[in-house]
Amino acid sequence: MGTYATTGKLLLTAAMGVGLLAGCASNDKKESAGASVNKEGFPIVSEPLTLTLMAPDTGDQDWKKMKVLDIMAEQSNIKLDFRNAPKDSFDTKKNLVFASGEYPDMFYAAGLTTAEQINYGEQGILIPLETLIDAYAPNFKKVLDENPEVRKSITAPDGHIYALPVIEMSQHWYRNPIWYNGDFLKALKMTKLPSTTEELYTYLKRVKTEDPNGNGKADEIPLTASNARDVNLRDVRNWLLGSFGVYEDTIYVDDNKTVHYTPLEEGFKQYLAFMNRLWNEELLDHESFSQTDEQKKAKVQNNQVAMFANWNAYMSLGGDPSTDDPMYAPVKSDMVDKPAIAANAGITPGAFAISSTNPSPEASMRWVDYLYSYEGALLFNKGPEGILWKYTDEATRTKEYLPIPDGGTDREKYRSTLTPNYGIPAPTINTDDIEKGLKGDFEIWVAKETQTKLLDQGARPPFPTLFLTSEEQTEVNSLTSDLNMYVNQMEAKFITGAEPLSNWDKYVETLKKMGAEKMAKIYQGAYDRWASN
Amino acid sequence: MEAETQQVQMPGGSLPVPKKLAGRSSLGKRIWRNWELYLFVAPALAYFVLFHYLPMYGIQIAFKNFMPAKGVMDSPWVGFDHFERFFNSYYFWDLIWNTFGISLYALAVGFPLPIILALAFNEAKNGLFKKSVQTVTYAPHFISVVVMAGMIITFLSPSSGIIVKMMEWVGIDAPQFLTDPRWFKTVYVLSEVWQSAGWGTIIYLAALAGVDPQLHEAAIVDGASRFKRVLHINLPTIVPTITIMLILNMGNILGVGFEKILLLQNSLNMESSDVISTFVYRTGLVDAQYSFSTAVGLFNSVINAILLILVNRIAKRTSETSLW
Repeated sequence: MGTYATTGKLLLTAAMGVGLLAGCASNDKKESAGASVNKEGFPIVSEPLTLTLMAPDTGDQDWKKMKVLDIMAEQSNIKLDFRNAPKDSFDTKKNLVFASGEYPDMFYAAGLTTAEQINYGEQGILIPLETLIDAYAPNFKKVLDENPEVRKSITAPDGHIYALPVIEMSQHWYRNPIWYNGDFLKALKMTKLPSTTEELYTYLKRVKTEDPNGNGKADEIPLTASNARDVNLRDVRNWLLGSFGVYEDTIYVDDNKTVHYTPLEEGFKQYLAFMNRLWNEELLDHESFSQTDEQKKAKVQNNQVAMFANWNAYMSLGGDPSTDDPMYAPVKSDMVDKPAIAANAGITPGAFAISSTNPSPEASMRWVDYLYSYEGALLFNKGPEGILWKYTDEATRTKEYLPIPDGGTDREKYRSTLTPNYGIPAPTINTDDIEKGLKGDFEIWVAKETQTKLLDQGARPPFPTLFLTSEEQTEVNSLTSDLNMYVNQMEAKFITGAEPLSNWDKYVETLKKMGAEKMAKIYQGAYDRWASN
Repeated sequence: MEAETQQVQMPGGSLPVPKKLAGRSSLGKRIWRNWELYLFVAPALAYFVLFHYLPMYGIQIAFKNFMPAKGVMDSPWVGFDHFERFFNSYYFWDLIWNTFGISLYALAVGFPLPIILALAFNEAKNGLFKKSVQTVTYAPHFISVVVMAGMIITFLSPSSGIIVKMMEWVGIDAPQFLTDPRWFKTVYVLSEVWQSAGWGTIIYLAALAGVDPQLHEAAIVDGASRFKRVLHINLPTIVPTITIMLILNMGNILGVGFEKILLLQNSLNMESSDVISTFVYRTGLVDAQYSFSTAVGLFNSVINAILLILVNRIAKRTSETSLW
């Protein structure tokens, strides 16, 4: 009897051990698609269909509870099963998913780089979309026919389209703008914003010494940055590089169609010299390379910082949207006649793709195509009618905002609980129709600032959206890991003075040894191919 | 009932089984006779096979150009290309130096401290005092790495960090702990000591519990001071434990705490903070160059294994203690 009991327990223990291990293996089977995909209108499929979708999650709202997705599921008859990953770690997760062999049916707002599209497209993990577009995507096809340059930008060198883009012809920012703290400007009686690097320097110096926040302490920080991965100096760098004639921090093409690798350029050196000067006089926060993003935000909110980058100034300063904090107007140095200003090309590639294991690419294409129609884009960008907005005149597509439900004050925050298209590069088209009647004083002011300070001053995309061939891409990949790390380190050292700028020649020599000139050459070749097409 | 219990005890050797018979009986027979014991081992065995040995087939991608669509087996072979790329990389020697430097530094400072601490705890006779000091030193062990890194960054912030402020208060000019590459290794090692020295004493305290009280009594009769007794009785007793711990630590020498280093890295301290594991993370998971990062990781593991074997050899030659 005793033995039986003991044996039973042992077996149980062993079985549980094995059970635990087996628990890891998943065994969900894909349902096969009904062949019945309707060519037009809703529902998209007559038989209910479930598809898996992977997207970056900002954490504002559970996607299963998003009104917009509910409506879409109901009218399309396609249920979505979300395989989302947090936005911050999405790129890592995306890489792992591609390597794992178990793909979601659709990638949504996945930010697939052209390198990823060609790599996974040629391997057959992402399927070519052009025939599907012709047959099942009338809205998107219309966009392509009307804008040949969009087709050119999303077609891989092998002639296939592997991913659909975000099309935002009315979104002009390449990087977050820098905003001036309006209180400081007023306190220092600045009637005109700085227009040259010298004037900028003088202004920052005054911020440091003249106590514009009026608390009697010299706690002002003229310019700051954080050590957040990929972000740190990025916004500040790009705007200031422009003062020295450089459009972008890695690769850009000048007005004579010559492609440059920025870290080798004279403009980059001058930018470093300027930043080093700011650093030495403590005009650039000495914690710029070590503090977290939270620490940086706290300083801005504490009314200590004169200039900072963000989508809108109030998002850093706190409080309501205000037109008192003007946008930074790019300044010029003695080196150039006018500053180089980068603008968004209006097309962000890699927003949507379909995997080879998708049971119904046809239905998926019809699903995403709706997002490129006026109705679909409106639904996904503003939510359904009657919550945040209503029509005042449906025939002319004029709308007005409704009061924010539940007594909320932040319209954007509420919008993020309705729709997935918040803070991620989702497949959609942004047209003026959608915004018609909805632009408030603040939005109109921001648009005007953008127009006068950037677009009228000759802002343009630093480099077209284009593809490298897979050989070129492989080479660029192996070059960039070392190059990026070296440039990043040396930039920080030159700025902080840990490495004197007199060692610039040595730095350039090292870069050349690491293959920096090849970068420019590869991209020049790709650019010439693109331009001749 | 009695007979059954005896049967289970057999492998322990308490029953007079003739040696000849036990030694020569076939493996199958021995397993059959002691099947309960093998059953106990089975889950652990399955765990190691499933999660530590089977995944090793993936190492082959270090010699291949891994393509997800083709899978591990069918990706094309490239020989030692990835290793060559790593050895020729601009950062190769920096990585090696940093990895060894941080490990050896951490070992030199972090290894003796728990031993000294344990010997001291063992001498503390006041129960309450001993317990509270132990609790205080154990506590940091339970802080997660992410929180720990956040604390370090906050404490060492030049404008508001408590440690920096305290140094200023006593009139010392605080160095740039987080951005000066010369300070990174020290910050890393000292925070490591703070977090793990207390916890590390546990194993030595257990060993010290095994000291024969008769030895102490005899030494007291002979007039040995307390310090002498610690030195000549307590310390020699735990030497085997120390040796084993040292061997285990050496085997891990290139496996420095990846998370904390990654979280404390910034572009200014990179030249002294970038180690092999963070390099593998960047090229592998961030840049998706799986084959290359596998090659680098494999290189790391091989060096680790060689070190482990070497130190074990040395320990075997010089003392009785060794892992195998």
